[in-house]
Amino acid sequence: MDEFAAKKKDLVNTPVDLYPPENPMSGPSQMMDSFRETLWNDGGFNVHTDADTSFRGNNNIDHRPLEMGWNMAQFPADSGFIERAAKFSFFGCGSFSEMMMNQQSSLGVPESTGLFLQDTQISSGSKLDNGSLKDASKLVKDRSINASEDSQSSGGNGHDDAKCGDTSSKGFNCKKRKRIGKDSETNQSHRVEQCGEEQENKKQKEEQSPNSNANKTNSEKQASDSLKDGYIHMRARRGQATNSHSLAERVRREKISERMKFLQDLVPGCDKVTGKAVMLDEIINYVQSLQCQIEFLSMKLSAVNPVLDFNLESLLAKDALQSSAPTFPQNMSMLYPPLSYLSQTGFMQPNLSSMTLLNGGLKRQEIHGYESDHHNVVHMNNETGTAPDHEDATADMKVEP
Amino acid sequence: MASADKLINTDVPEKDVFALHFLQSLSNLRTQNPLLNSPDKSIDRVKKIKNAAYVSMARAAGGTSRLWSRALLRRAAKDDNKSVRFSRRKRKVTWKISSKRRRSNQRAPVVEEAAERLRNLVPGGGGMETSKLMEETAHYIKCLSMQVKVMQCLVDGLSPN
Repeated sequence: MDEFAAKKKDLVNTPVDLYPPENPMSGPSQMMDSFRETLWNDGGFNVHTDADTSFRGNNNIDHRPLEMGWNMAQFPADSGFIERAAKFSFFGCGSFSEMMMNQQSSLGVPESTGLFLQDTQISSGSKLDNGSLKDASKLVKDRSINASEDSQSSGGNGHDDAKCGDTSSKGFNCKKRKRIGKDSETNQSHRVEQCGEEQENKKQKEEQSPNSNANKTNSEKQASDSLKDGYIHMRARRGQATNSHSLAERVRREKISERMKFLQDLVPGCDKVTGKAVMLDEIINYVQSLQCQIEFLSMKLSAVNPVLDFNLESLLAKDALQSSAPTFPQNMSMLYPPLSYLSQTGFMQPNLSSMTLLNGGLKRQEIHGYESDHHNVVHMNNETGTAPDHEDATADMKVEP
Repeated sequence: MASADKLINTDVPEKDVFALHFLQSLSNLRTQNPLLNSPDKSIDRVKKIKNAAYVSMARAAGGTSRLWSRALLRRAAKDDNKSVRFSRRKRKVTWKISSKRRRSNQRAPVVEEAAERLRNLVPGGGGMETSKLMEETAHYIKCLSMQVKVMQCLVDGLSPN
């Protein structure tokens, strides 16, 4: 859509040279009517939602702007016209009817804001299932937020214009003020351009600002709340700043608090603790204590067995891991005979067999290693008097519970 | 051990995987210094064992698929003058780079202070945004506790009683 908007801008700007503005504009309404007809005659932009998705991938439609551009060359260039034309680039954002309503409202046909929003919401609600709904959702969202914003703002277009000038320079900060004056339209055309390049969920389209929402009703706020569920993006909540920065901040805050809750479950003894600071201190202390424990245990390990006769050590370790101490001596005797044999076979082949025994329990696991040596090992166990299961692969590692 | 939270994946392998890796690294230690059964400085030995513990933990916990494990492995490989090979991983999560973090220090100084301390603790924490840091910390804590369990078992098994 952004490339389309850009294309449209280019095409709109070219006629400036060809057709000097000889005719004063009789009125934007007439021009828009003819312009609209041109659109319809062109076969129209597909303003239905399924065409939205198809539009983006469809190269054929790229020709449309060219046609449009040539048609538009017939019109005298005017800043207002440029703005109007640019507005039409947002056909993809919603239904064409929405755009018409936009045009009508900005053309001075007053509409009560409540009705206006209801209509758009109905039309956009039907499109909620579509994948490319971002724009539509933003549209509606913007309108409702605009409504809520404007309800708080005092009147005065001059004040609004100044504000809009600021916001346009900043990009799309969400300080929306409704404007009825035409001098704002040039600003809008800039914003319309930038719109295509915005990021999705933080910015709102300035296209909404020219919509004259003369009457702000509370129903709009309710409507915005009800539509929250269908959207993926972050919205400005009621009574909170809609600055894009603060929106991003809030998203980030929520992420962090969500993860902190997760950490709270992880760290033992943090259920009663409330508050981020204390919680974080607890987490830090816990990590530090774990690291200290590892260091301490490694010291102990190095002290326990100064002669790193590793094969024996690992075997014993294996055994120790499988049984938590009580049956340890028995296993020792059982394991010593195969010890030397196993050390020859290259004990440290990665086999899951022994390691499965580490699962704290005395359950038997299948040994997948030692295929060739299996019977030998079993044979050795026979010598020690344990009752091997030839079928059971874990014969050599049996533990008496 | 499946994590209940589907958004944040902090699954950690079972204890046996950790034990396997740890024992492997210990055996490597053994084969590296076959004659140095009892080096003079026990501190070196402790350090080696500790290093082996961390490296094995990093490998067991998923190799290079976690930020902290990657940093750990890279650090260890640098010490050994080796290089770590990173397999291509799909970027499910993107995190902001540290340059952005510098700018945004106005955010909740309480949280940021703690995050700074956490970054010093968790390996590889320097380049992470706070939310990503929390994820990594959670996974790191799980792995640390697993490693502690393994080592405890080892020590218990080896202690002459």
